[in-house]
Amino acid sequence: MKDPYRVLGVTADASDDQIKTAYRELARKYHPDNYVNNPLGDLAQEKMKEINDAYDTIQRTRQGGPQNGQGYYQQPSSFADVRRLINAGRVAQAEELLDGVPQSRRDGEWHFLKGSICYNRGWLEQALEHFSRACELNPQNPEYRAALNQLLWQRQNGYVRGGGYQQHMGGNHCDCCDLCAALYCFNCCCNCLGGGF
Amino acid sequence: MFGYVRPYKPELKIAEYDTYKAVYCGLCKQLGRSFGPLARLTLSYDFAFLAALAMAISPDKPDMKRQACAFNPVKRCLCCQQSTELEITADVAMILLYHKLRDNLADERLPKRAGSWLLLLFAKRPYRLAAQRRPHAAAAAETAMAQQARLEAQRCDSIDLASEPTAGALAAIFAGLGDDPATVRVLERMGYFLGRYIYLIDALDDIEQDLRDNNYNPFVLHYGLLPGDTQAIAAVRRQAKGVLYMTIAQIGSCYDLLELQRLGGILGNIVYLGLKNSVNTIIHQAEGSKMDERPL
Repeated sequence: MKDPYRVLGVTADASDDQIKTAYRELARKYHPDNYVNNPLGDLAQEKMKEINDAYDTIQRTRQGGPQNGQGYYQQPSSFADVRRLINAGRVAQAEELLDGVPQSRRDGEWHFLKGSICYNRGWLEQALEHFSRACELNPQNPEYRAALNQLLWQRQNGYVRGGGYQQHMGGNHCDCCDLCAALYCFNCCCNCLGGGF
Repeated sequence: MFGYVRPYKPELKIAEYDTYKAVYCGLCKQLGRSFGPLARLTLSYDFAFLAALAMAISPDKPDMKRQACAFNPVKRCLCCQQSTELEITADVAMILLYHKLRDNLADERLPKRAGSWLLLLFAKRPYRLAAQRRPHAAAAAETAMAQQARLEAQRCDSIDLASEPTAGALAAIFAGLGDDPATVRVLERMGYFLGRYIYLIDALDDIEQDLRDNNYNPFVLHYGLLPGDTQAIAAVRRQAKGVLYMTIAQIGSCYDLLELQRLGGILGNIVYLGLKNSVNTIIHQAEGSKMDERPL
């Protein structure tokens, strides 16, 4: 196993607070939400696991801290087979199935999945169109909304929400965005650690 | 096509700047070693990025020494010494330059056309050398050119499809830099989006000229732009900025997954700040407005 301090990018004499900050920063960067529909999602998940393990190890060696446990949920789908194929990375087959669906049955889920395939390929403009259509058809669906919002955020800011360059930007700005990010991040830390804080 | 992938200097540390310059100098000298002194004039920022990226993921530490340079014989600067990464980058640079010139030749009119023709004549032999050493990169560029010509002949109005050939070529070239399968996957996707970025920012930069000369431009076709409609052109530029920002975000999320051994400061600066800065510079120049001190 890798040196847990190295994984978190801190030295072995870092304070507990420094470790916590480094952990939160990384957990925010590699959060699964940032890699939804991304074919590299599994690598991000590995990173996340590495970070969680490193944090756990340090906690354990320092004070016998909290243990982990991470849950991932899956939504029921009208195109469950297509979803399975996309998750397995078999995008071409998934698209074939989708394209065979008659126009009259193309609901929000259809557009969401089509958008996911486009996103997977890197066709961002078409992905955006399909996610928008999915949200129009099912305005209440949080998954479609999240996918659309993620792209709109990137369109506005040029980086993945939670990612970016904050750590190098110098100066300690503390605006309401930071506060939100901190809360969001704290929440995700708690989730990862099974509410151990 | 060249020169958009560069650092955002105000946020670069001086030590990082020196290292970046060492990579840049090293690549310049490598171009000279690989293809002769004239080739050094083709040096561009984009390939300094490629070289830095290759060095950052390589297990071997780059060798840097203080050296004088023919362009500035008095000052001795830090310079990267010969390495596989520099050799690969120089070859790739030559392959892409050659195809860029071919593309220019097809697009341009006299007298510019004559200039491209002359340059192409000079580039032919270096290209053959480079293509011999890197057949995969050469094949990828060749395929991209053919696909691009087909799309342009069809007057393709999809932004995604229009950028696919360049994106695909860079995906293949980037993938060639990695060793283990996970890194190759990340590099491939990163190359895809960087290719998409380069193609689309070039298209953004050329909107007005392409409208004037009736050249192919995906933004012009996608948004149905007409010459002289300044307001619509300005609106499309804003749209194009969004398209590019989204692409940059994807490059960033790939970059975050790379296991870097070194040079993270410079690469992060380019990926997170430099790419956006190039977009903003183009838009501000086109609108004739002055850029803020800290546009980001």
